[in-house]
Amino acid sequence: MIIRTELEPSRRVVHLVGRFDAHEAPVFRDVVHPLLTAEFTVLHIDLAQVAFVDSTALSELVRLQKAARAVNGEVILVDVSDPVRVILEITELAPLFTIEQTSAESL
Amino acid sequence: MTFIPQPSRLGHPEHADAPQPVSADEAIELLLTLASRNPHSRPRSSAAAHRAAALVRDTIGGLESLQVALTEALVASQDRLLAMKALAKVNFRGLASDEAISQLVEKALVLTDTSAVLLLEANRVAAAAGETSELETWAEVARQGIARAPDELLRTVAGDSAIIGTLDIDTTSTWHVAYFRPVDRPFATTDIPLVEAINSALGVVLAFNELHRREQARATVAREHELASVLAQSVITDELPASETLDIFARATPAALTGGDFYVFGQANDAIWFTVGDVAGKGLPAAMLMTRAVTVCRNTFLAHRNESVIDAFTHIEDELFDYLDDAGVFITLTVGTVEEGSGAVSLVNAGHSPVVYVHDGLAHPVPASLPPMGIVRRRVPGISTFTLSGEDCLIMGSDGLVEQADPKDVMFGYDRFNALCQNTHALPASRIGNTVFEAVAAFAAGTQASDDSTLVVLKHPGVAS
Repeated sequence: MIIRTELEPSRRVVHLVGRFDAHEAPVFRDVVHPLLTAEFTVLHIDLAQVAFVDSTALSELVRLQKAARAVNGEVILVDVSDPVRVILEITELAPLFTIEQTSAESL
Repeated sequence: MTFIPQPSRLGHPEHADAPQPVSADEAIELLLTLASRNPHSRPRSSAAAHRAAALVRDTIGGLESLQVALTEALVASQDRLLAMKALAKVNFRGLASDEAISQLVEKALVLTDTSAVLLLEANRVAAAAGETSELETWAEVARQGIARAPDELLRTVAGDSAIIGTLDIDTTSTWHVAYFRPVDRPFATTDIPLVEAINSALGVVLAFNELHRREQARATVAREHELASVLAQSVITDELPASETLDIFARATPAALTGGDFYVFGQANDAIWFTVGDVAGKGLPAAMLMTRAVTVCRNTFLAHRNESVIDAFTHIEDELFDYLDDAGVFITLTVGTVEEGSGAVSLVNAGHSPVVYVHDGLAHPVPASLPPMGIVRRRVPGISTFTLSGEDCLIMGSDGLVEQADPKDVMFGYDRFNALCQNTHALPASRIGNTVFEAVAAFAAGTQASDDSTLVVLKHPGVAS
């Protein structure tokens, strides 16, 4: 999986591309979790190009959401791909996140 | 060196009977004699001839000294070459052993023609060879030499009668080798290549020794890991609950030695408790959480056997939530009961899939009514209720089945799973279960499973199958 981060003055966006599974979870944790700071409490995760998530990956997203909530922030899932949306719905995890549909240009 | 001039091929006729010189000195004397006999020579010419002869003699003397030095150097070089060859031929019995190190230190003593060789690990003498009666004295000399020049790879001390080398190897300790000779036979520059070669060989053996130790430690951890995995997996019992009316199949196959999938059954009054779960994550950490979840479910089914499904679910959540929250993971879980008499099923699905109810030949996915356990506490779960009768069945799998990929990385998927449930629902539970596992394995076509696979099938044919 490719993890690309955009650190803008007003917000932080993480673009994920590929399969997000147990093998990728440690890297995701190392790269993305530190982006949550006292200054930046909201993270946008672009899932438009994620083809698959397994339960370990979902667990990482939930862990990130918990960390964000702990600092009064949140994780916003953006342009969730169909495979990821299906899994979020099946597992009843979708309501835990703010999910935004936006044009790619705005990211 | 002996200088033998080549006889001239154009010898002068008038000197044909003169004695032939056989050494450089005789040649010079002959030249002087001939010069003095020359009727045209003057006194000054004779003195110049003697000075020339002295110069020639000095030059020849210098050349002879040089020849001696070169010969000695050649012999020394040959000795070093032979020593290097001997070093290369050292045959260790087990390269990564303390015995090999002692063997090499003994060899170093012989090759360097020294009185003693000490191998120091940090400041401790790890091995020694030679005259060890003065071991502590020499060790102290070595320690002081190292302390004076800690960053040097080689340092000479005690008037060049000792060389101390630092071994440049990646081990947890620092290693030095000290070579000692009598003070009247100090080390020379020519000894250094051999000392460096021996130090290098010792470094290789020590590095192998360290690797061997690390590998042994890793193997020990791996064995313990394997044992822990086997123990963790053993909490999932193969023994199914006895029932006069229910037909039950259950199997959990971990992707590796162990995994996070589990199922648990419990016996209530005229009902069977069941749960199928999957701890997010892989390996031993997931397995440890799985064993905890199994224990909690089992205890709940014993202690709260006649309570409602919601109460049982809440008990399980209360026991596991903090544990899961601390670990930062969740468990997808289906908990329910099936009445042995009526076949009535009540279940709570916390983010688990696939859960399929096949009724009248049609597969109906049973949706989750709340997120997996460990994320949001004390959310009131919704309950799914239905009745198993005739060929109806409840099939609860794990994501390892639907996410199994084929060689082209296409997943088995929920549609195939639901269709398989629908097509096999009329079979006995064990045949449904085996058919599902076989179909997924055939689909994988050798592609390794990336996740555990678990399946529980419940049927209520009315009589035992």
